[in-house]
Amino acid sequence: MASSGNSAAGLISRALALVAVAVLVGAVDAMIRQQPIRLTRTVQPQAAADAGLTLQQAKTLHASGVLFLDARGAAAYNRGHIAGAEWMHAAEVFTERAGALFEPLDRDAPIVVYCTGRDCDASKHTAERLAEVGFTDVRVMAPGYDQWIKAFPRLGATGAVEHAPDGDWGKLAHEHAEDEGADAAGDAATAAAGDAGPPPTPSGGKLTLEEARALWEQGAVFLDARTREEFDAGHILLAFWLPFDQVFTAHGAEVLPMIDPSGTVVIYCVGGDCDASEQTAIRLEAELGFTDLRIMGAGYDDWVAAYPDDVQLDDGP
Amino acid sequence: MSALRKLEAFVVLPPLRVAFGGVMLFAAYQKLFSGLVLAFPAGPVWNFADSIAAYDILDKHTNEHLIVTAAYTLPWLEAIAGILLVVGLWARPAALLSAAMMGVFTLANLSIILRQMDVSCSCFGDFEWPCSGSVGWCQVGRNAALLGVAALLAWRGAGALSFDARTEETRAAEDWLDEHVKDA
Repeated sequence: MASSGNSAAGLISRALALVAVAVLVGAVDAMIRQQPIRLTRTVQPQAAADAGLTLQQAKTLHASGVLFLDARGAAAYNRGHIAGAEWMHAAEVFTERAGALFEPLDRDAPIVVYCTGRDCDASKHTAERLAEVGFTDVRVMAPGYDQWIKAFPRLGATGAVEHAPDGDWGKLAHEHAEDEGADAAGDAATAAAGDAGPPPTPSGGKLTLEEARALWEQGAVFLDARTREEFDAGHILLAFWLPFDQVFTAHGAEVLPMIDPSGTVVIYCVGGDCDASEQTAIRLEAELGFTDLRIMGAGYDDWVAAYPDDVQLDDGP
Repeated sequence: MSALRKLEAFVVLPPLRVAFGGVMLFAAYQKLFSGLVLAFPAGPVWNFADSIAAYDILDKHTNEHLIVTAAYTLPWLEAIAGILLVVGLWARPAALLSAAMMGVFTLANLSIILRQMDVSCSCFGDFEWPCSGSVGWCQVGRNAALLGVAALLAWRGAGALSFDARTEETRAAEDWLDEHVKDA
């Protein structure tokens, strides 16, 4: 005769008891390790979103590839905008151009909107209309473009809006553009910084190849987040190998003391949709206090094609 | 006890149980402690959490806590089941739990193949044998084989040389004594 422990109910209840023990042991383990695990970079406290983003918060989001929308007029946008930002005056939100831009986006993904500065309302108007379109996490960067470009002159770009708006909405946008244009023209420093900025970054907050190259020439540290085999076969000259699963290992403990956490660090992987760079950045930012992490949108192969002399080959064991 | 039952109890089940328990313990060790550096105590678990997120079954933006909880719980579940199987205590529930885990892992790996994703298994941390590289039919076959062993142990029990066998012997002796005392 089967004992109570060997009956089906007995087996299942004992198995569930083991699950409960494992959950408890796991919880104790988590408390002992005392190192919070983060899997994403864009979590922001709600209070900060309500009060408007600070420059530093906005920069963190920018580095993580969050979409930035410029709510000023078209002329002001053309003169200079945040690198990778799309022009999105409130009057533009319901146009076909905006529809095409928004169509592939997750409605719960964060979006940052900005205008000229603290006193402008254009970003709030755009934010309200984005909410009507269905976006749930729209954040206004309170300091605006003027403060941004003074603080981060290298994260600016110039470039024309691709399609001029039509109809009444377009008229409204152009009128606003003229107002904003007058303000912007009065700020010589802002305009100069905008003109001197790098080319637009179509990959959002990620660095273009040219921007990455400029940082490399300035001595920024480069981290290779690909596999060891890929790194050994060839990597950007002077780059360190540090994929995300090596950050908290003995290898990481060996490499990290050689890097200044307050300096500019560029991370790259194979390009395309690879998110290994992002994963490495999360760990460096969350646990090690790195403050200026940039993700290179282009991959290693793009670098080799453009700068074949600045790679190191056959670094095998 | 028939010769066949003796063969199963002494020759088949104990080695299978100890070997399978050892595999579970090794898998748990790899996820919890492999490459551990004291400065970053959660490193291995963090790596495992990222592996779970890479399967893209749970969205890491909305289910981050669930993924982290799973990353801490699953390896300890493997460790507890592994220890119990090796010593042969509560071997059937431990094997049942292991079979359930293997079933889930096999389905998860199958979903990776069906979705044509490029994800590494991380079933044994960074240890890759006999399968290496991205999840493929090798990993599915390995997990299915382990699922078969776990199911067999859950069905047939611990066999000889186990705490469970000792408990059953004790219970049988008590039953015998009760019966004979009652008869007397």
